[in-house]
Amino acid sequence: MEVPAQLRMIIFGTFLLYTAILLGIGVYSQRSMQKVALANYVDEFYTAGRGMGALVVALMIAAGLCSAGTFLGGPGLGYAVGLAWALAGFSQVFMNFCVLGEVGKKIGIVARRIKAQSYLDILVYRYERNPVVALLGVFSLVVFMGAYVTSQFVGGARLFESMTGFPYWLGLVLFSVVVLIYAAFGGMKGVSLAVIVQGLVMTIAVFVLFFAAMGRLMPLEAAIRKIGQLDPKLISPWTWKPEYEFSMWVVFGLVTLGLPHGVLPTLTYKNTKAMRSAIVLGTVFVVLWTLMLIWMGNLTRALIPNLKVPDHAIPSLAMMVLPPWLTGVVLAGVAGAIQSTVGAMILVISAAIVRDAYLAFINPKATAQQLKSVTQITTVAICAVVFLAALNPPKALEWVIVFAIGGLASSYFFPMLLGLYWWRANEYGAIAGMVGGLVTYMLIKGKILPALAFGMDPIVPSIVVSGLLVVVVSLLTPQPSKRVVLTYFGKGVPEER
Amino acid sequence: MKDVASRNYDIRDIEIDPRFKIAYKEMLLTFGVWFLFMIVSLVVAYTLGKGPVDQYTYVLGMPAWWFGAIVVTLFFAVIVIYISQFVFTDVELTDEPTQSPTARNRNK
Repeated sequence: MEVPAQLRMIIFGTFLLYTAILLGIGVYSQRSMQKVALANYVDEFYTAGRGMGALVVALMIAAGLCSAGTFLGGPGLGYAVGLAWALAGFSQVFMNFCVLGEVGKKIGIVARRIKAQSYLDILVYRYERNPVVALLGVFSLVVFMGAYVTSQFVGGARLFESMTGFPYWLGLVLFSVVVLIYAAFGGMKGVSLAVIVQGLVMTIAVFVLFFAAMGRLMPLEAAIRKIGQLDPKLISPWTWKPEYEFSMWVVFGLVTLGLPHGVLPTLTYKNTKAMRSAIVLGTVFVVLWTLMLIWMGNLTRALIPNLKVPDHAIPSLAMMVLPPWLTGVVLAGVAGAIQSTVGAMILVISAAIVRDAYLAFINPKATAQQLKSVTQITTVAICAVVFLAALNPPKALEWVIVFAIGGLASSYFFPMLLGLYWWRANEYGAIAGMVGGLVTYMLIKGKILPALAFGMDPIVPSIVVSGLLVVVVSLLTPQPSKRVVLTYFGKGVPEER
Repeated sequence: MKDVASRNYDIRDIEIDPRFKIAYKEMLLTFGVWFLFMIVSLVVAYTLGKGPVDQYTYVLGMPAWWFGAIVVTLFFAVIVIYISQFVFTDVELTDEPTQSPTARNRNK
């Protein structure tokens, strides 16, 4: 992108202001955590005492799941592939309803019974604290989410570099150090406060951009016809065969339960009234963000027909139709989307390591002080590793990313869903389902057995395999323990209440 | 007494927490609504989107199929909001210390 020098400074300035606000939140939440009683530290760190209200829960889910994909990649594909892709984007708009409606209540009750601090806690306890389940879980989260977090920062830093002209490492520092501070030192408190600011900035950015762009595009019909003349495939749903479109809906709308950072807020909401309000708020946000952004990606074609890098559609559009300081707000909006996702993912990874590896196997008798130290060290270490990896992205990163989100979803979706609602699912079924789903996904996506896809995204056959394995293997092995069934389906284990 | 580590009990002896029954039904409803949303969206989009692109009908400046997809989404948004406010119920998330936890159906 060609960005004149004057513009760059102003964009940089606005972005810096946004970053400063987040830094303030980081400092505030860190101080708040300092005051927490030692015995409660870990609970407060990962679930903030389970007292989150509707707005925060809504935004944690919405902004947690909407990342660079919704702001850059998605519109980029709307630009390059067309409205067939944009149509698939609609599948994600009810994510709050899906997460909260499908598992919100169940997890809300179970989490309080077993004092769960993480997504993995719910899964591991359900499957008899089986070490293989735990280690598979920790490993896949650390590797795939870690890679995803790293690539999000790389993307953000690169964008910063092209929009402001400042060096990559500076962008990386501004994007990531802030997150490190409020996530590593503020925990869930920091992440949830930040998400309010980020949600606000994201919303302003989207609205401002949408209306400015529409103003420039009027009359709309002429603009869309123009795009259709560039290439009719850009404005027709038939660019993608119905079965492929269907599979994209599965990817973006159905398997949300398999994404730990999206389900994380179910551990933190205050009561079911807040949960129901979060559905309303979240729906409004995500419908507007998704609709406006993805459509704008496609509409950019009418104004900028020959962009070399489709991911630059939104930033280029912003620079074309907005004054520089508002372009800075759009950059902040992109940053917000990335940081909110990353913040939630860092907490998921950290909780998995601290609770499901350290506390479960390495030091089950850890004292409160030890837990506190390990929590802080682990979270800081994750951030440091991610930062270093993003500074000089290893080639392997690209390779891992390809499998990251799809791989996670294919391995967790059915083990989690069936675990929560089918009493007979057991740890053997879960292991088979997790491994089977992931392996199938990698075989197809890695082009070793592409035919298994039947013309659809690899997620579809992968979750089918995963689901079948959970069911069949569970039925062939002993039923779950009474303790687990009482906890997840019955009225709880009396002496443990 | 109960041996909670046992894997040899009869499932029919286990009393299901009423709140979990509610959660289960709401889960089915949620998936059902989402599937319906998907099917209606795809049917509307792929039917109205048929034919040569240069002969598309335009509504409010956009191709009819795209307009239809947006309308479907907005319609289901209203349904989702309605369900969350008037169909989903509120339950106590903590277990009551004495007897069995009961679900209270109150729409606040």
